[in-house]
Amino acid sequence: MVYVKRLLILLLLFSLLMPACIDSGGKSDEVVVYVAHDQDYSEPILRAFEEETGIRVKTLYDTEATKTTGLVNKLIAEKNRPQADVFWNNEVSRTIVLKNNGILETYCSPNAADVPAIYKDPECYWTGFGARARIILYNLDLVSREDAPDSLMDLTDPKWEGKTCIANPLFGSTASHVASLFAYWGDDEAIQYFTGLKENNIMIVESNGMVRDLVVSGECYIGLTDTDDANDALVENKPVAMVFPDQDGMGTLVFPNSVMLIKNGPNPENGKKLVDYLLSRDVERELAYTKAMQIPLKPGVERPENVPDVDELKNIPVTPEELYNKLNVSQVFVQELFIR
Amino acid sequence: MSLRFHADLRLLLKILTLFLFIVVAIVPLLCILSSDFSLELIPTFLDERLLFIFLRTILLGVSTVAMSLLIGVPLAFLLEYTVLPFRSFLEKVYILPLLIPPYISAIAWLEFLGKKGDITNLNLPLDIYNLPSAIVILSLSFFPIVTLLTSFALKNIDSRLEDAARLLYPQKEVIRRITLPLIMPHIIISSVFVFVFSISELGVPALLMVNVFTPEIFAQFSAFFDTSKAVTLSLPLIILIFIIILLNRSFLGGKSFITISSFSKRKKSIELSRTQSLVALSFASLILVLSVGIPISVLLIESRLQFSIALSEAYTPLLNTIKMASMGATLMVAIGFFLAYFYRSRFDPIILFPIAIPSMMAGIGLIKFFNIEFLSFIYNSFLIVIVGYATRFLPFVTKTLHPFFEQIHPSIEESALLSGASFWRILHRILFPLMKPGIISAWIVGFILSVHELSTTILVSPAGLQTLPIRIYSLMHYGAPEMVSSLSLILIAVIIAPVILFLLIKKSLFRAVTA
Repeated sequence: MVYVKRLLILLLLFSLLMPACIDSGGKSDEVVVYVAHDQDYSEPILRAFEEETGIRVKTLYDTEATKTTGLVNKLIAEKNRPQADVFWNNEVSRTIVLKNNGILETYCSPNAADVPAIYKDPECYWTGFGARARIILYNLDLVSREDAPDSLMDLTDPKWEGKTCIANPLFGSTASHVASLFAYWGDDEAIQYFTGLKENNIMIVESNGMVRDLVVSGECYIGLTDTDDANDALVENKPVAMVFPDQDGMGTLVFPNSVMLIKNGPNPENGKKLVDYLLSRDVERELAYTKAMQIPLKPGVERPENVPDVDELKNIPVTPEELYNKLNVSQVFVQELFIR
Repeated sequence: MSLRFHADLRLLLKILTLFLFIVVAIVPLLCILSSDFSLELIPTFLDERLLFIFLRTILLGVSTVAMSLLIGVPLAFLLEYTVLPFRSFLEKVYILPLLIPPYISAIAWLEFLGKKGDITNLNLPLDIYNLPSAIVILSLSFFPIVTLLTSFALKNIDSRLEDAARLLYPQKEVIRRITLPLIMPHIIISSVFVFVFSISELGVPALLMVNVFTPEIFAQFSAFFDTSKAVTLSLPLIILIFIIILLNRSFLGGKSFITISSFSKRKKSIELSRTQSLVALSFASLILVLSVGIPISVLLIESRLQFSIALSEAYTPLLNTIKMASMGATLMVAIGFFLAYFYRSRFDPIILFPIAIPSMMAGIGLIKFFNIEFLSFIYNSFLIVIVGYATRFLPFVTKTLHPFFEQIHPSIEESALLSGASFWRILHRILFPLMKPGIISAWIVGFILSVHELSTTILVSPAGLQTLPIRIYSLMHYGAPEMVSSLSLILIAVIIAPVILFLLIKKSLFRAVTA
């Protein structure tokens, strides 16, 4: 009796381990994609690709808790034996980190042809699609429309002392935004601006989502955040309004999703098919209609009313490479200034 | 044959245990330390800003320990020494705060005190984005560790010593002179645990914008992508934790003053006056309201009770989490059992070494070591996640098992040996049965820790595999509070389930041991 029991336990253990042996075997028709874009919007698109092509998509999503940089770290650590074929990043600066670390393979997708040149890599290391922008969100109960700021400079106005907020400037799109200002203004002017923000007692919070929540609740009158975060509040009819800042001046940061092929990935051909698919007009249109309101980059892609035309949106004239080159300097500075 | 076989099996297991421990817990960490640690970077860190961050980290740890002791020790005395009303209820629920991930209670507190209005409209002029709030939230999460260990000690001290002293001294003096010194080792161990947990916590300080060492290291990984700097920056934390471990060792000398004995364990009961019970009861309820009541209520309200939608949505990640955490706990108990048995506390600094390693660093070390062709059957499957759990949590499981071994008197094993029992037989007939409560407790510890593991899992998970914490944190981005709260409550339920099961069968277990 005891032996039967022991045998059963052994069998059970073995059966638990079996799938592992089988799983690691041949990958016939699949593609591995790491995704930093929100799961709820990206998953349906990947499913549709699966259905259309019959290629099985294995996905790994990133999370807010890792500031959606967990996968970038994973890609760098896996360099010697890459596991992913494609990376769908929700912005561009970390894409350039990957490019500079030798993680990426060039691939000029035929579908990249009509993407404006400023939103793709000249050597085809990555291609942009569906963009977000940095915006000012304000609480309508506390700030009148006439009073509402329409430039970043307004945030240093003593009128808003202690009433503005911004996400931790070390991470995510906030870090890119800061770097773009360093690139556009030059270090001295940028340093002066951020010192001004600090003197005006800007509140630093954990994330862009938190900025939105605080503006909605009125704990903060005016916040700097992203279009997708702001739109979550707008669709729920919260008393807030969104402004694209500096449209008469330098413009605001418009930053696309970026898709790229991983060098020496396990299924390069399927990877290319997925890149082509993600760069299709249909995907851009679909992303525009999600709650994340991604702005289509290709001319003439259908979009809902609340999504602006990318040609009419003034983008800060800084290339992704220029932005990346300022990333380290600006992050070190804001870390010293704000994160004490 | 029997003696030879005995020695062989013993030796084999001893070597196998050491091998597994080294592969799972030590090599991946050495991998990253050796490839990325750089002495030359150290001078770049020595500035005033980092010094303040370091001091703040220590302040956070020390204050959290102090506050946890202030809550935890009196609570343990109340539970064990007095005839407090509702004692048996309190005894079961005080552990709950430990089962709610601190990050989730921090979010709940922000909702509760913030002006968000959805829930309370309290509109308190309280700024909770500061160090004291972090200390309070962490203490409210970790005090059960103190209560747990202290009550365990109080339950098991030889009451004859106290009885004898009571003949000469009043109760207060007895507690001061006899009881406290006897339970000191457990208080110290629990303080070490609380200290380590609080200074390695990332979520709460990040959320409250309290800059301590862990967010600083995290920033090196996630903002600067500078693994070298991150690894080098972890050094002070590693040294600090080592000092604590060594201090702890010299305090305890590896001894436990508590023995399981079949006599003198009757419950001590001090009668409380009406006012005293009232005060004691309000103290206990206040703590429970703050640590469990408020966070859970906020989550319940926020969730709008959309559990079925949440469940159908996150069914696979939930199943994955339960499956992998159970397997992880089993693996850790299997290794930890023999590690604690063969090596006792001899290699403590090495066994405890992984607890000093930041979670992201452990993840990258695991990738560097396991992502090779030869080990791809581990790296390309769910096994890597289980190994990841073991890398991070084996020390806790091993240290939970250790005191249980200490309580088995060597004479039992010796007499079995003398009568010619094989090692297998000793294991099977003596150690396993006697260790049953220890094994179960350690399994639960391993399970709980694994269920909410996030930052190592996200780095090592193979594509296509998602755990519940990862699903929850990926939902956090775009304001889906009902889903996040519902899933958090489901996560908490998953964590609590084995504990409830254990409480239900605990009585019969302990009876079996002491009989």
